[in-house]
Amino acid sequence: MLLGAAALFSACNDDELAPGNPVMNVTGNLGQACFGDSLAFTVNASDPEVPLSTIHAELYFGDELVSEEVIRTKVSGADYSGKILVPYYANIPDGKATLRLTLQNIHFTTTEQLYEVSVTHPDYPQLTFLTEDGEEYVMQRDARNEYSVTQRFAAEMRGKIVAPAMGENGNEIVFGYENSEIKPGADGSIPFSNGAPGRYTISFNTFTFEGSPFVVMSLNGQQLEAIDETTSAVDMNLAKGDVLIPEGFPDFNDWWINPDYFVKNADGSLTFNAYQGNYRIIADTKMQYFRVYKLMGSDPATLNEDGTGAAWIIGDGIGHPSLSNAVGWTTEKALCMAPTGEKTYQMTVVGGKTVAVDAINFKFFGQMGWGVELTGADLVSKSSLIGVGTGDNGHDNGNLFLEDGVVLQDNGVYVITLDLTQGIHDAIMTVDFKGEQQFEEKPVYLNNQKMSTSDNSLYSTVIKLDQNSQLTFREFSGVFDLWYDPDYFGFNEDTGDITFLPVSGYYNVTLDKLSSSLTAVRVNADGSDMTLQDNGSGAIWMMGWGVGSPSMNKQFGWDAGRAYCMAETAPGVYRFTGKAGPENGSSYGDRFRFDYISMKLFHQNGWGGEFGGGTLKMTGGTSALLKQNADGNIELADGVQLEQGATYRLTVDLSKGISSGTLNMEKL
Amino acid sequence: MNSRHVIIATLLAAGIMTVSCGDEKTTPGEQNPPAVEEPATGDVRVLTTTANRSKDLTESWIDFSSTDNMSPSTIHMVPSEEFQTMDGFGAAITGSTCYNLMRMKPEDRKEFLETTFSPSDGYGFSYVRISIGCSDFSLSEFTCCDKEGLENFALSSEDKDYVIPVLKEILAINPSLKIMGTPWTAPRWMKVNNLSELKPYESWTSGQLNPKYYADYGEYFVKWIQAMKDNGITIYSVTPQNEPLNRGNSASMYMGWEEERDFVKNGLGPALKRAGLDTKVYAFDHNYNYDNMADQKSYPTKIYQDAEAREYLDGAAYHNYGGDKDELTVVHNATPGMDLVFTETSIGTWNDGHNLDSRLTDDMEQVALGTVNRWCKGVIVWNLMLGEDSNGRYGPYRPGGCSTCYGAVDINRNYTTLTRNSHYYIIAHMSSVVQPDAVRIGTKGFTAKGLTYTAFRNPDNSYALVLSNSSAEEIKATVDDGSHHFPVSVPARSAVSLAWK
Repeated sequence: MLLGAAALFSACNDDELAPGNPVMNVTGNLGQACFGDSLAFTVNASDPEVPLSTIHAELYFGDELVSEEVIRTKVSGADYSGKILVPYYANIPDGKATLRLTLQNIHFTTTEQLYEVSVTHPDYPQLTFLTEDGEEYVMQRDARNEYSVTQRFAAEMRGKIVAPAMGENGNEIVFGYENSEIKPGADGSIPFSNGAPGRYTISFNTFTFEGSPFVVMSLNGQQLEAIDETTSAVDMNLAKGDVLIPEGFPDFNDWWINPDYFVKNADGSLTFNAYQGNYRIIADTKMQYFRVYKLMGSDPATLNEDGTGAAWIIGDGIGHPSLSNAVGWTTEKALCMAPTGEKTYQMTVVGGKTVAVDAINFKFFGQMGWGVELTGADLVSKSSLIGVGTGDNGHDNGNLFLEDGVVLQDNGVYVITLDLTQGIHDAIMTVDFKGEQQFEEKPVYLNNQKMSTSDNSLYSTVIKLDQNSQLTFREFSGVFDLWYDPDYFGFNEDTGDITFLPVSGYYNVTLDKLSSSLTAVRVNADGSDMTLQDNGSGAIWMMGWGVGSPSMNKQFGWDAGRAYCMAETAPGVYRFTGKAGPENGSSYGDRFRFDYISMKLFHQNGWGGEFGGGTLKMTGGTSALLKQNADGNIELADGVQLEQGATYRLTVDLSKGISSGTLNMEKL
Repeated sequence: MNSRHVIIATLLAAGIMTVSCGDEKTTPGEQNPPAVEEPATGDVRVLTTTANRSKDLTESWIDFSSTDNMSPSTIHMVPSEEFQTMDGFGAAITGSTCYNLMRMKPEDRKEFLETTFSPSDGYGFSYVRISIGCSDFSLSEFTCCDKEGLENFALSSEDKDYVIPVLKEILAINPSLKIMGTPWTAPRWMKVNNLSELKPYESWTSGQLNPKYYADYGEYFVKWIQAMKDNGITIYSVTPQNEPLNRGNSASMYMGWEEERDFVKNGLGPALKRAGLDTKVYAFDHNYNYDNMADQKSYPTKIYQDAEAREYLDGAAYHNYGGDKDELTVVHNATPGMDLVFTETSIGTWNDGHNLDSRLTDDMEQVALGTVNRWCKGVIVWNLMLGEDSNGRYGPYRPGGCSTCYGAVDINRNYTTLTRNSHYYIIAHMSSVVQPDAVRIGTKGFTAKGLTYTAFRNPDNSYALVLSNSSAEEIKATVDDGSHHFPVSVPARSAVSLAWK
């Protein structure tokens, strides 16, 4: 066929329809390219007989045309330069592509040249993960085509991956997201997600274009939609006995499962245990539980006069997944009782875990908020354990209380039922004791010493620690997710090493899985609270407002026995470090309130010995920030506010004796 | 293949692209470039049918490519991933089908049957379904034992005069043909009005099998299988009851899952075992949606829960007149050790059955590929051939049966002109490249809107790939089996079958 084609070739002549004689001289390094390159070429194009039309460059992967460029050729004998993109697709092996250059004159006579191009994958030294917020993370090369970055990330990290230009023909390639795939040039951000915030690895393969993680939390394949960093929700129509397959929930084995709504099966699935209806299931990855409430339309259900709908509990002494998340009178945290029928509701509580054993003060409401509530006139208790306040019996109207002398059993399981069969003004409450909850301890070890726990959430141990020694956990892998009291612990984000900062001695170290924090208190060898010693060593305790830990949500207040123990970082030297933050909406680490402080330092965890007015000499520029009142209270200096977001350190130095103590406050 | 591909493929084949500096070729301008001839042979056999019949099971060939496969549109065969082993593909050889075939000139019939059933010179249809007694496409209502007492068992005249002669003719063309038998009704003397009153029930339609005849009815199956064997016809499989939840039709019998369980356990299974028959038994044989009867949902899997009944069963059979094919996956996942086979679907006036443009790719997606991709070992459509009558309907059909059905092939009133409908094409596209005992294998890679495909490894180690394109655009892809690769074009609204070694 080629010979035939050659035989058809004819020399130029003067006829207007003469085919002409287009000639190309091509220069350029066309033998090699990387995927994603723009292959450059220069063509000297000429036809002495017929005006030229175009140069057509076509690139073939196998038999498939994958890229083409057309250059207009107006002048014979001129050089024309062009570039043709070598596309970068997933899963294409290195190989030999074909470049075809075709020069055509206006009489459609063509001449073409074919080039074999060895195409290989670029071997990037590193990539950059560029988030939607503009943050950049270097993705290190782990192996050929494999890149990753490990950091403490938010639960979802949306962004693009940028590969640098390689070589003289290289192009910067930005990998985005389209149709659930990572692709070069795609407009969408790659929605990396881990289910929960924390330290994790984002990886990408430049051969397969596969990335991770894409942890999607779902129930029966129905994806939960994020509410905020740690909570996601899905609405489902459920009936008793329906089986739910949970997928993508981090550390799901550690989750607390509300027994009124679900039974956890051996295979990890959940069987719905409440009455049929529409429910919102909110997964809380931080507190590791599902909050469930009934829906009416797309809103939280309310209680109807006839007893249908939903019954809610708001008040003190009850909380899910544990009392550390007590409802209190924060109506948004109201607990929705599990419907067991059209007009019957149930709440199972466990003494010391989800209900206080010695005092309760909560009541039934008709909505997740103020409004309809069951009063003492509406509600009759058939229980000898829990009574209903009438307003006249020493308890607020409708508020539930433990009957005189009643102390609930630690780990005792109690089922509170609310029967509204006769309507909400003829309600009956029963409380049944179901025995003791079997507790299966999941031990955690600190420096090979078993920590004690009663709920697999809050762990503590009295342990002797040396200053600057390393702390090691066993059976606990969440060290990258913890907040560390900065005066007690140093944490290396790269290695995960935990360094103990205060002076050597006995400490009660507390690991709170629920709030993801590690804290410590100085104690004696027998575990009792340390007090300030005559030589200035030991412990200083802080109480008051405008100071708290780990955030302003936990201000110390004036509750004796719940004072904060300052870390003795050198003999007789105590520190308290934190950022200045707002009273409401503060974050972990905001341990000073920026606009108000009123606190005092004590010799023990409670009232007794204290640093009265003038007993600590303020040093440096402290007086520009703080003032000491005559009663010993320490407050912000008149007219002073701390700089929000700035880190401050309060230091009490008793190294020269208690009577020569100094107080220093500095911005770091 | 567009002109660019033709040119490049030709140049590549000519072996001129061997150096990195450009080889040059000059071509004078032409108004009408010469037509490119399709090669008459090659490495890959291709059958193509377009919905407009511009390609009508048209054969063509493709050569393996000699270039590096860097195509981003590559369908990779994954032979290491194995699914079910295939039994075959075909249509029902009903009494009506055989009646029509027997009305054709013998030479015309021979040519049609050879084209349809020959594995070497035709499309290799490999699995057919026949009725035990009558179906709703018979010439009358009957069973093989209409007079009470199994001593009265005898094949019917429809069997002897139509079905058996046709089957013998087909078996002469394709001796390895698999045949499934299915009753539409038990003999009426075995039927009762319901299981509580147990009153005699003389109707061809509805009624239930009297439990006291479970053993006799099992023997009835055995006698029928043996009678067919005596006529040189081996029955490969049976189902206990056609459409057991359908009380209508021209002949039917209701058989809920508990009855079928008990009949299989106490009648059919033991009878086959005693007779030394290894005939496969498939439960259910009805719709994906169990005719919306809540208590019949998951019909076969409920039967499988009875270990004794399960021992006699090979799997379950499904029709697609209600529900969705995804039920096949549900049943497979629930009982992965049990087989699935798709045994009936029809075209007719209700689904614009004569309009290939509306049917071809839909039937490829829903039936041919859709059921095989959901674990079916076999696909059998309804009547192979129906004949047009003076009312423009197709039959012969029975009163109360389907008067609006079309065959996979329809024949005109003079029995001279055949029209191949979608069900013929979809079966031909499977059976022509997928041999019996082929294994469905995995694929990965290229996907496109409207493109559906399934891959197989045949017993002779050749590969088969069947594709359907329901989009309005031609789809080009490269097929790569790890050793070879080649380009393939799937025209708009078409089915394409590929086979290569």
